[in-house]
Amino acid sequence: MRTFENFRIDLEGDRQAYDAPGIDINPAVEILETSPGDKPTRRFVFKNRPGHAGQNSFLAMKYRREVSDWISELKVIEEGRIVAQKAIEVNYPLYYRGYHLYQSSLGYDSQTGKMYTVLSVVNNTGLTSVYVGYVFLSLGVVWRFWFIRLRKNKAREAR
Amino acid sequence: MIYISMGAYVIALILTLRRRNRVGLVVFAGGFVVALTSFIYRWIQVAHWPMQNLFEVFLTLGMLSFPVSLFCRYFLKVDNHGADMFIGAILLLPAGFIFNAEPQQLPPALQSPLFAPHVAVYMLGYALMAKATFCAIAQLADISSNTDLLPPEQATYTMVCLGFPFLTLGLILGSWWGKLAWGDYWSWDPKELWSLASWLVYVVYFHFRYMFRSKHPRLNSILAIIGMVFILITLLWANLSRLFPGLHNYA
Repeated sequence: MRTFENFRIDLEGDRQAYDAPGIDINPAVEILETSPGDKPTRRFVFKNRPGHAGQNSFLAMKYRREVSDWISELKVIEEGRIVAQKAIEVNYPLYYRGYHLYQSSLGYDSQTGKMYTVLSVVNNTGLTSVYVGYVFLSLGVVWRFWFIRLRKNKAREAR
Repeated sequence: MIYISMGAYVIALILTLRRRNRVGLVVFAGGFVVALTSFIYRWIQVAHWPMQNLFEVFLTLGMLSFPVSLFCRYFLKVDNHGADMFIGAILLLPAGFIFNAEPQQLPPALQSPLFAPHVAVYMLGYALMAKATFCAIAQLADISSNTDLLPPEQATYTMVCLGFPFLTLGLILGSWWGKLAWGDYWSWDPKELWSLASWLVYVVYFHFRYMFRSKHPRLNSILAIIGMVFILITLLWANLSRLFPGLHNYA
C-alpha cells in the first residue's frame, strides 16, 4: 500500500500515480481490492474528495473517517502506589471506591497541536440502593402483571 | 422479502376489514412465513442472533407480530387480528425503508450489549400497547366480539398488563445503560421524561381501574388511549422535533 501527501496522476499512457511536492494538499492512499477468482484491482482513496469519480473508475472510493471509540488508560495512585488501573472507553467506566470515572469525549487542541481526552468523574455511593430498587420494581411488576394476571385469565377459562 | 411480507400483512388487513377473516388470516400467516425466512436468512448471513442494530430489531418484531397475535387469541382470549396486521406492517416499515441493512459503524455511546435489549423491549412494549389501544377504541366504538373472547374493556386491561412490564424493563435498562455511558442513571433528557410520563399514564390507568373497576369503562379506555398518545410523542416528536435537543438524538 502506498500513501500520498499530494496525489497526482498521469491520465495519459500507463496512468502512473505519483506524489507531487507539498504536504496535506491531496492526501490519498492506494489500496488493492481483491475478490476471489479475480485479479486484484488498484484503487485510490482520497481524503478531501469523497465520491470523487464514477462507480467503475479505478479512482472511485469514499474516504470516510468515523470515531469508533475513545479509550484512555487510567491509573489511580494513592500514596505512591497504583491502586486501580483500567483502559476505560465509552460504556466501560472505571469504579473506584464510590467514584466512577468515565470516558466522556476527545478533542484536538489547535494551539498546542495535541489531542486531549475529556473524562468525567461522578461520585455515586448510593447507587446500590437505586439498583436494588430497580430489581424489586422489575420483579414486582412482572409478578403482578404477568403471573397473577395470566393465572386469573386461566381461571376464567376454567369457569 | 421484507416488502413481500409487508405486502402480505397489508393484503391480510384489507381482507379482514372486508370480513374475509379466514382468507385474511391465511395471508397473514403467509406474510409471517416470509418474514421468518428473512429473519433466518439474516441470522445465517450475519452469523449472530440478529438483534444488534435497529434494522434487525424491527425485522424481528415484525416477524413476531403473528405469533404474538396467536398467543393473545388462544391464551389471553384477546382477538384483534386486524390490529396485529396493521402493527406488523408498521413495524416492518422502518426495516424496509428507513434503516440501513448494511452493518455500519455505531457511535461510541451505542456500542453496548444493552443497546438491542433496551430497544427491543421498548418496541415490544409499544406494539402491545398499540394493541391495547385498538381494544380501547373497540370499547369506545362499542364493537362487541364473540362470546368466547374477553369483552373489549377487559381485553384492553389484559393487553396493558402484558405490555406494562416491558415498558418498566425498558426504562430500567435505559437507566442502567445511561449510568454506564453518560455517568448518570437519570439525565432529564426529553426522551427519558416523555417515556417516564407515558409510563406514569399507565400507572394512573391501573390505579383508576383498581379504584372503580368497570364502573367508568369509557374513562378507562380513554386513559389507555392517552397512554398511547404519550408513547407516540416519546417515539416520534421527541426525536423529530428540534424543540427537544437531547441525548437520544441518534435514536
